[in-house]
Amino acid sequence: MVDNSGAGGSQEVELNLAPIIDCFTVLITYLLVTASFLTLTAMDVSVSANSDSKEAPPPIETKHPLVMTLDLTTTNEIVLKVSGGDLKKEIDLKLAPKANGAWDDDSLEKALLKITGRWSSLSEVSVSAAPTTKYKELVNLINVAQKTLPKVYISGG
Amino acid sequence: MILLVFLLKNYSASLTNLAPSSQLALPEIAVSAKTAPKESLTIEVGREAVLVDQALAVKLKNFEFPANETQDTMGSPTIAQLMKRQRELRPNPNTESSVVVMADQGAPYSTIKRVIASVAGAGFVDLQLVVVDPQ
Repeated sequence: MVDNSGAGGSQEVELNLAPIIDCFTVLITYLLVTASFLTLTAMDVSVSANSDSKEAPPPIETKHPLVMTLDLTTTNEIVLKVSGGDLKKEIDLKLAPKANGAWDDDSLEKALLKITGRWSSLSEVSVSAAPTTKYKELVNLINVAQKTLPKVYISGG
Repeated sequence: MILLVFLLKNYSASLTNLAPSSQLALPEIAVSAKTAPKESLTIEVGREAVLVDQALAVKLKNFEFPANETQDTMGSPTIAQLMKRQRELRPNPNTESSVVVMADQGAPYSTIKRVIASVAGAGFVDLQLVVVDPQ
């Protein structure tokens, strides 16, 4: 930088970087402390009407709606039931656990695709589980169900 | 400078200010229908406690509710009461129905169900179940 204010002479001025570095040090520390390195996402579900929700709006019902329920049993079996609509008899499908005892989510995905292919008007499923079912297993199976049926109800009662 | 740019980008990318407790192990799932958690009331279900909007609601013992909270066959009276109060405090109490649920991956369905029943009892019927995206 050149200073022309003097009497004919020029003077070099050095930029003082120390306060700028101080500011950056504080800023980086603050951002490091407050930054979240976990990516959180959410899964949208609704509470089904069989809970004790006295103030919840009643579900819209048609004459004979086709409904599907997904029940997770204590023995890691997945029970799918389709009823209503023009069905004369309830359809009951049991999916056995995998050989290692885990929930068979692949079979669930295939079964849901087959069911929705047969009854295209089905767009929602009501999920309930045995009291001992772990939350991680529940959300994992809800995630599988949401691939085919975006609207998932969870039983709160 | 690169670090600063990365941190600023990372900071702006986090849309919501959700901060689960350090003891809470959220389930890690690659969600098919991703949604960003909304800025709404949060319920946290941990091993030792249920928190409503980061304030202690009910103390748990290894995910189990105390006896006085299980007299009602479905919900927990304390959580139900807190949720009703929260609902009255909302700017639009008649239309506000969503709640963000952060639960420990090991929590049994019996506990989750009781919390859900209490929450639904106050009219919060749209739940956002928060999970960690493994990316």
